[in-house]
Amino acid sequence: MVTGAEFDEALFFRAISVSGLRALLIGRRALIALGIPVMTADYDFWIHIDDIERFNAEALPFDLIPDRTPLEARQSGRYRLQNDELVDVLVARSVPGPDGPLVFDDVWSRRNTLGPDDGEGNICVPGLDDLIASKRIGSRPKDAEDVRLLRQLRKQRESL
Amino acid sequence: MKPPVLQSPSADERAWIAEQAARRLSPEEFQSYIDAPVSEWERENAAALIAWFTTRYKTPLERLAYARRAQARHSGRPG
Repeated sequence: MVTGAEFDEALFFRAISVSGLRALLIGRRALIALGIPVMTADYDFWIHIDDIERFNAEALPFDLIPDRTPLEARQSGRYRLQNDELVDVLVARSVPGPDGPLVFDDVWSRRNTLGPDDGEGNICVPGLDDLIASKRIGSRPKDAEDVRLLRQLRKQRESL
Repeated sequence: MKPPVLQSPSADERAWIAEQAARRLSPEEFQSYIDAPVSEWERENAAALIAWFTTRYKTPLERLAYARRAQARHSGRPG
């Protein structure tokens, strides 16, 4: 088993990046990647429903094991990859948003790609508006706090 | 006069705190929270945090690595 101390996070993101998977980093790790320092223990991804098998294959060398079969994941809309790391994976085609459903294909088309120019460490995150809307999925107090921080980040960027 | 000594929360209190942190807000509660006015202190604090973080850690991978180390320190687990 790969323990948390051994988990090579950069290599994991690089593997996802070069694979060409339709995988969006969401949740608090996305805030961190964008430049907001918040605490979190796990990883959250929203991937295309047809990319489950390929995503699992990229995660396997890191000993991240799915808790559901791809069929079960498609039925439930989400699953987890885990060892002593925890990766929550949303696979729903759409989720409820504040102004109607957030559709993966639309969110993917509006994504921000963060990373170096060589493209090998790129991280895809939703656009700021979509990331803010996605925080409704959890609707916990910390999600509301994150919305306030993201709105301020958006305001800063608009003023540049 | 001795300063008051803070007592660690009991197991029940910790469970209550965890429950409150993980609870789902109603749509009205959520909206009310995010629409509350941003104070000058909150705005400046957030701006300073973002400026520090993006200046000190210039790439997304550096920022993620920092957050992972910080989480490890917080949880007492190797990062």
